[in-house]
Amino acid sequence: MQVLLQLLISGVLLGAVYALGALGLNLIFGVAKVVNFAHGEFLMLGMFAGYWLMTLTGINPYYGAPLIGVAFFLLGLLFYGGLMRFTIYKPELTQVFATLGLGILLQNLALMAWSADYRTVQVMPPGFESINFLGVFVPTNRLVAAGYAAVILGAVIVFLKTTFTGRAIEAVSQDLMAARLMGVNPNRIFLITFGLGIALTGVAGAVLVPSFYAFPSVGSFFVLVSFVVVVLGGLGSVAGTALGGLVLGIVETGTGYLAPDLKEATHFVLLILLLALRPHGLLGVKGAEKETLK
Amino acid sequence: MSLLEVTGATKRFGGLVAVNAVDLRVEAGGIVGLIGPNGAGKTTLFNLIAGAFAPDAGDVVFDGRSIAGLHAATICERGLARTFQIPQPFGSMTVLETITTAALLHGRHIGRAEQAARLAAERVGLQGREDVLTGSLTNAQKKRLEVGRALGTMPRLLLLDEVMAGLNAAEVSRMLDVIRRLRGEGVTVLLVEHNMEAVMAVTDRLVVLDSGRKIADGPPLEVVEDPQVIRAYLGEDDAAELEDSDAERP
Amino acid sequence: MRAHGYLATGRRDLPGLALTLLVAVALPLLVRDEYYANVLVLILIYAGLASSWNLIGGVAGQFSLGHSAFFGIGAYSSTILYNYLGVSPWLGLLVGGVISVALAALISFPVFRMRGVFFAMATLAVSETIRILVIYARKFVPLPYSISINYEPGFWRMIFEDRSSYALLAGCYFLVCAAVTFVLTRSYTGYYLRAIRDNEDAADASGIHIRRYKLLAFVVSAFLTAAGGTLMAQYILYIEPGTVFSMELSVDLPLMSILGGIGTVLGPFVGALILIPLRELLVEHLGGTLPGAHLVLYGLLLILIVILLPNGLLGGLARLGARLRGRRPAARPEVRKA
Repeated sequence: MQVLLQLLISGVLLGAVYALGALGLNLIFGVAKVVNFAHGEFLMLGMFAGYWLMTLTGINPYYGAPLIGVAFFLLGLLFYGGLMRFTIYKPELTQVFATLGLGILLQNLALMAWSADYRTVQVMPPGFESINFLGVFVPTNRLVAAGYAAVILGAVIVFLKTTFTGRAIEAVSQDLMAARLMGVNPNRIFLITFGLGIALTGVAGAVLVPSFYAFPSVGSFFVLVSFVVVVLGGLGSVAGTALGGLVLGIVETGTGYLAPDLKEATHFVLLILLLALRPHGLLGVKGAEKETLK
Repeated sequence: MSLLEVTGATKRFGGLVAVNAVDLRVEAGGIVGLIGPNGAGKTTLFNLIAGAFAPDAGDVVFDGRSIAGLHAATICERGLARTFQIPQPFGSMTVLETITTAALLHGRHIGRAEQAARLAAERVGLQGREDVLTGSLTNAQKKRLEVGRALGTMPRLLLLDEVMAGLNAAEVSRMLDVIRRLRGEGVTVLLVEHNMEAVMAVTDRLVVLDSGRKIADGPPLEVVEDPQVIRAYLGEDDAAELEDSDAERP
Repeated sequence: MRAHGYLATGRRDLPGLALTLLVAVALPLLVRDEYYANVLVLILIYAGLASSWNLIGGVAGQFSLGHSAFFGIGAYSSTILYNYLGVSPWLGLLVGGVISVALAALISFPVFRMRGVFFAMATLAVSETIRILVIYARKFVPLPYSISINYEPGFWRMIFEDRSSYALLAGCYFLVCAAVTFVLTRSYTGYYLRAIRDNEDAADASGIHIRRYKLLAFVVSAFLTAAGGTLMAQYILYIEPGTVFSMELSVDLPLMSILGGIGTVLGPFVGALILIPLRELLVEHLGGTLPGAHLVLYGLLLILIVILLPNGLLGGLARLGARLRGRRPAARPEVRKA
């Protein structure tokens, strides 16, 4: 019983982290129909941003995350304006390779700049690294990250539902043609979406760095996890991302307990099964997996 | 025995019954028009016959054998070819390559398929355009290419899905020529159209659907006089108004 | 265009044929320098691998990012059979090929339900799963993480003393891959695969059994990729899961095809001909001093190629040629002028 509770809580905390990490990927996919293969690298950059913020200025990434969010919003604008703008109406293959190429580029730039060392930061004061809850061991870093995830997921949902820009984003994601006819400029929406998606990814990275090691190739792990979360939860659905993250977190924690070496394989098996059986995900819109901008 | 026999075909989408217990016969050698207002279920019935999806109830018998629920490709092999309302060209191919692809169904010899394709291109009025990439065709030409591709498979029954929609008067008349010529060659055609006038010109029989049900079936001139058909097309009030204004006209 | 039989061949195929024979057979016999022979072997093996990928990824338009699974299976099958059971790698090649074909047929059920980027993600997931399972399998079988093959030259062992023999072997491999591509693209299957790539609905309505032809392209591609895996293992004489099941390889093969001209017979070869020497040069000059620098350039190159040369060099050349001859360039020449 104690073990089950421990697994469940660990799974939920991990799942929240995964959901937060995948949110930016899903937002960009939902709106621009681009699967960003460089997503993991942006997350990696977010982790390094959190790391350097703490190391150089002493600002705890938990407090500095909004700052990193702003910086990454600009980075996202640059990403769209400097690269994705040229691929957005082109075949999927172009987008896949443009983002794959960018991923390889960023990963190795990070390698050149910061070497392959594993880095993390110590933010919680000694003695507060974990708390004991009903006899269950809860790492405080994960708890804070999960809190962040809950707040940000909620904020994004509110933003999309209530603000004018948010509703325009939703409109473009549902029907580009109709949105265009209603006077929404899709290119502006794409720009904002990329800014927002990358900002969320940067924040996620910064919040994760106290509990995950940052290193140049960490993105390859997270990009695959994020794919699974997005597909699991449903393409273009924020609430689905949260659910997908939780399901994956719990499944992975469970598998990790039973067969640690197969932990990673569960992601992929889950992904293949899901893509085959329910390609629109748990909460996604049917047919989204076949949708493109063309 | 009819070439195509649809009995009690029913298709539901969620709570909506798109096609409700429809019977339809197409005799060999004729041109049958399937018409109805928007949302009448024409396209759904068409897709049931062409194999895009299986009927929930009822049967589709082609040439004595049931084809309900078979793959579209298998149905095509049996001799029933369709066009798409929105042309679906092979983007990397020329006109000739497109029709050749279809003509390869009856033999893997490329030279012979190409010869057959040239004939089909000529039949739909695309001669001289054989080496043009499909993307550079006009919309009207793309629609004729759809017919050409379907003809390439040498069908015994040709299903045409709104091949005249979106065409101007001159293009419609050109398409009608193509269809008339097919009749002369003994091809059986089932024509789905929204535009009643165009259909009147070429069909031997008209079938009218409304809200998923068949409401009329007979010679075109009789069918268009059918009050039920007029009501379906114009709505209750408009139909009454039309009758009034006809009466008032000096 | 002339009337033709079961293969749509013409005079325009002759220069490509001559070039292929020259590179695949004549060069291996001529190049004696160890360094260049090594580059030649790599070019030819990669050209064959990229051609294999091109069958499903380019000709049939199903964008696989999981071909390292087949490559790795080829490498592992022959190596394990040879090292532990003494089976000739020539037979091991067939075994790896058959296993890959079985895997391709098995995963075709889920992955062919997806199109475009979802197919890419699913195949990627498959190859990652296989890599993890191979590493996991060491819990149950006494298999070291990395396996070396003893250097004992011999024809039946598929181990050779001089690199030019390897070059000739690689040349033959490439020749087979190119020939298979040639026959598949110039016969009715080529029309069918192009139709499927262009428009599945219209292909279906033209009487083409989509799954059947996709599967055909997939299993042939899988078999040939596995064969390349065996060849590479016999050349390097060393394998480990991290390198033979690497995502890098899964990305390299499509990249080479795109660079040369995706869907064409010689495009993958042209891509390998440019990328392999380029990479060797980059690694040589930057790899030691600045780790990662060559991959930064590689990533940049990848971006530039897909944006500036979406039809590849052969497509670009066809366009240029058309323009020089004063004709309007075809919208997508890459598939027409292979």
